[in-house]
Amino acid sequence: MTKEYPAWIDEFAVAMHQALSNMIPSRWSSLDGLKTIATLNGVFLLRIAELIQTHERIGTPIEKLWKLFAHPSSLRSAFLYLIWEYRHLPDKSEFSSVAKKTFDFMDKVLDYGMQEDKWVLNSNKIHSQKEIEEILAITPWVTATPELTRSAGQLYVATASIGFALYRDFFPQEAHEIFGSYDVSEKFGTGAKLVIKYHPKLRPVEFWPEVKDFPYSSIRIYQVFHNVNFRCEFIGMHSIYDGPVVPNTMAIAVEVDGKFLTSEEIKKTTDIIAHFATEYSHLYEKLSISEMKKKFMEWECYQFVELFKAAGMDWRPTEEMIQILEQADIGVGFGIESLPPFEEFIQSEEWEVVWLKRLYQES
Amino acid sequence: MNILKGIAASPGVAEGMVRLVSGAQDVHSFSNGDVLVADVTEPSMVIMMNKAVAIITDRGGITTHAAIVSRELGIPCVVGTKTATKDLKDGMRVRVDGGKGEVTIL
Repeated sequence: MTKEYPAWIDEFAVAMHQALSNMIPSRWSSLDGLKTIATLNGVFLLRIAELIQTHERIGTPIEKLWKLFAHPSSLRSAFLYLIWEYRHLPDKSEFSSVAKKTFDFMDKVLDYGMQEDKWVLNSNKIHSQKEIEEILAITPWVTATPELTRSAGQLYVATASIGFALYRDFFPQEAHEIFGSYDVSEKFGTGAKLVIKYHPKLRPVEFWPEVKDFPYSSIRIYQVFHNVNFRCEFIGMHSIYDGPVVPNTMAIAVEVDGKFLTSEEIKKTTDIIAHFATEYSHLYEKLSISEMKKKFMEWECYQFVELFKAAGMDWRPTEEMIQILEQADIGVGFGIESLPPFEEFIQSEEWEVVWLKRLYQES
Repeated sequence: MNILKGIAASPGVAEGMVRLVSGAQDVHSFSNGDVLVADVTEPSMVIMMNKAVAIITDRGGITTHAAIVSRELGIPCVVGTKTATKDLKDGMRVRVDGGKGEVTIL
């Protein structure tokens, strides 16, 4: 009799295939991120297992573990990259116990924090109804005009560009999340929905000392619209709106480092951020391949930075991680041009789903 | 009438002058109200994207960068045309229908 595997694997498979089908992975990054992850050969997986074990030993409660991730899309992406590392291990049997423990942990924390749809087939919700009501009550809403909505859109685009400049193709979600959509019809009328665009970690001086003069560390844009359906795929920033957003936006609020902005301040802030985004876009391009490898590992580890700190561990890549990558022949680009049909994706050993199922069924 | 077809990525109709863009270095020749045309867009093009009246790309799907940005900005966008950067030239006037996924050379 075949053992069961956890239900999350099937949901993950659907979400992953849906999300990757709508992207162009071949255009990602200068460094081949998939090959980089594959090269690690379990070293990072073991480090995260050690991190989890430390938190178990010190008894960190799950509600704190959840908050130590930047947001759920960061957790999901980190989870995915650990799965990819496992998928590429030449000898998986040595890692089966470590992998299961790590994946069970990540699934448990994700399950705890998400209100529903934890793999984001349609929505990305972490707030309870009570929390949404509190947000609605304390936020200084501005009635939206098309001009204001477009202005907030430009701020969002500029801020997202900072995230990309500093975290590039595999990790921009560290500084870019969208929550929603939430039903806010009680306050704003039938069909009204709220999305919250959240940009944390905008000044990661730990691995980009060049950004010490960037003036902001965290931005939130609250947007209420009607006659628009919002959904996202795998991570919040992969947003899809069904219906025109600008004419249907009813109210907006923009919060930068805890301060809500006026319309004029939104425009000024956008110009400042866009200028920095253009400047910072050159930071990564100037790196050598060796430096890109190290940067990739810094980003990988930084996904868990607060968990490392809370465990009293150094978040930075170990010398072993850096040396493994330094010695490997890793080129540019991302080796996936397109995705196979779903049935092949979940059955082929070229992809991760079949290996995940076997991990639980055979051990 | 020449019409390019692609994926309808962001609704709306807009007309403007084509500007072929390959990177941030093209910012000095890009004006408010131009139509940004690229193989794919990148975040380093942020200043131009915020000025564009529409965006057209050769490649991409509904969650690629151009599509996401266009929907947030409320401007029409057609992605996946395959040949926009070849068929469209700087200075051409075009109408972009992001709801139908069509670009008409005027």
